[in-house]
Amino acid sequence: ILFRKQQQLQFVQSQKEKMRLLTHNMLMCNKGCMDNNFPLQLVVDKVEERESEFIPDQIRALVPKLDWGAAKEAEKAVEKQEFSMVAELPEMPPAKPLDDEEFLKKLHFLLFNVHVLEGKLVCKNCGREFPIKNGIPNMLLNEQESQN
Amino acid sequence: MSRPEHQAPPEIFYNDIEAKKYSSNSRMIEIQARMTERALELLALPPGKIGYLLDIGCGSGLSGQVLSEQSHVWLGLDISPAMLDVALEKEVDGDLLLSDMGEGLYFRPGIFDGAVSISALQWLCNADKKNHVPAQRLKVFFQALYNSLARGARAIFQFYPENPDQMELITTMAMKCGFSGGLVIDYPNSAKAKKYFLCLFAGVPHGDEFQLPRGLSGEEGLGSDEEGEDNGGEKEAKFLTKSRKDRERRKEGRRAIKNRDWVLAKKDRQRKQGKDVRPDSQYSARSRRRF
Repeated sequence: ILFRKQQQLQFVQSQKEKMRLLTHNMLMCNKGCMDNNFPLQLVVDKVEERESEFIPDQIRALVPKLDWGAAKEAEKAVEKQEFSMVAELPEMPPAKPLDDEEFLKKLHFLLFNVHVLEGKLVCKNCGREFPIKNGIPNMLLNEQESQN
Repeated sequence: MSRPEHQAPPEIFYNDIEAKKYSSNSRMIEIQARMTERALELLALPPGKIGYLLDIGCGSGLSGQVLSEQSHVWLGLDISPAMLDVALEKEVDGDLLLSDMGEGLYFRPGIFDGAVSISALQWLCNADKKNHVPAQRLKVFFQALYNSLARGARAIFQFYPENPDQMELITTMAMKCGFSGGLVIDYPNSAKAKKYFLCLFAGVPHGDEFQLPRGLSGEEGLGSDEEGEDNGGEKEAKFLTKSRKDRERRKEGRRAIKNRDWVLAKKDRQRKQGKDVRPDSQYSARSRRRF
């Protein structure tokens, strides 16, 4: 019973942390790199799948904002994980993405249900690492960096 | 009781104890929720439209929950780990980032349909570290925000200005970065209920002059008024960049403010008074950028 309780506790604890792959699609280097500052390299130490409500209009609103290359990179970063659904995006978005329900579902799964709990985001230009702890990326600059 | 920003930097002021109030104190929760709803109103997204929003100083996630209730997808940033922990415990829908808004933002340009900020902006006006220059931090922040917002998007800041100077500093910095907008004051007559909302517009969506929303006046039944007098939602201060202001005045048929002719005429008057005046040249009354 103790063992089960421990397991339960762990489940409740990890339920709180989150960083969806959607966010990775939006982040650039905070140090102010001019070139090659997007997308940040996603290094994943701990990933989890969470359920979330599929609201088609939400995904439709996001489709025009997404950077497809970054989405494919994020997909690659978590490819070693086993998920309940095959999270594979096509090489290019379909011709009419907003009407393609299958496509929207796949997008929803990858961007909303895959959470990075521990890891880091690395700038490809300057190599600066932004750690992800408890699902929260730490984008704070140190004193030297904020001088500029 | 001194203002919070004078007691400690935000990441220290908002420690575990302070953060706990945001999850247990029902009055605080209600006020924050109401201010967020009002900010969403001022954001004026087209009805039914789901937006990708930025919550600046999202803290405990109270404001984020209101955004989620209206089906928006949001991203929150805050400088206090303790507050973000509270947000995690609430299991908010939005993603959270630990960062200092005075250091700028790091988002792809033009992705946000709007931004809200509840009770956070006044923290930026304080120098918490030796190398902090509030004016510069404000400028860095507003510039980054302007870039991150989609064209025609708005940013609504509910905040507590300390004094008119601070208000002017904020609006000046916002204008320098290309924002237009104004201040909306709800319940201006009530000391308790009075709330300031800085509304910033990143470009005008339809090329028309924007309409600044009116502040609430208490007619709606909320917020008591000791004098019993009603201010009837008077028009609040609207601020625009100089070029846009001049354009609007010319549209109305009035001359632009302090243009070249006015300056040259004034110099002539002063010469007639016998004062020592610099000679006129092609540079007289040229537009200048401050610092």
